[in-house]
Amino acid sequence: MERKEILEKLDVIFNDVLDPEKEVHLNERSCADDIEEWDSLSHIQLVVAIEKAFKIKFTSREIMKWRNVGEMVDTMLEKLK
Amino acid sequence: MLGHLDHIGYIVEDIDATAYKFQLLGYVKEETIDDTIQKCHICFLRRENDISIELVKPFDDNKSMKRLQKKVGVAPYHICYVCNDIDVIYRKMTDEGWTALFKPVSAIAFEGRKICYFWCEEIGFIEFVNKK
Repeated sequence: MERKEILEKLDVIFNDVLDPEKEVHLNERSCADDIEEWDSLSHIQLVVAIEKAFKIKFTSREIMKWRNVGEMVDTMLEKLK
Repeated sequence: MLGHLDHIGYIVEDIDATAYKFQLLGYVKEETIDDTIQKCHICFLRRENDISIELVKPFDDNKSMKRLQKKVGVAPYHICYVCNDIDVIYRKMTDEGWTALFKPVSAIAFEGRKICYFWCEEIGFIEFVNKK
């Protein structure tokens, strides 16, 4: 799976989980500061949804180290190899 | 290092309605606090020599907790332990694979004492509150 495809799938998951006022369009630099609905609790809810959708598991260190969506995608690519 | 179980947190839709049912079980309702940091209304129910109950009603704009509420209904969703040093607990829990929701912060509902929340798939949410 390529980065673009992962980002597209993440777009769907983010919009589904966060149900934002304004539709989210993620890019590599997107972070919690850019999306009002992305708080610490919804971060966990996103992680659970992503793990389920991609059939992967993250470690707590991975979950806590991401500074933006690009870093999340980096981790996902490693797991999807 | 890890102290006693302090309370069980319930996510609720109506604090007074849930409190009333607990009052029938002998709990005493305290004043409801508006925690603007956690974006929740919080009300503690106490019973002598027993673990307290924390009723948590999310603010209308607290979407993530509203989502949790929609998923679980009115239900217990976290337990909270007292600890002597929350910074030590924070390091220990993260080292052991728990995901921290945030670093220890002062909490209005605990007279400014620090709290932190952790999550893991196998248990769900655990809160810690500093003893002092």
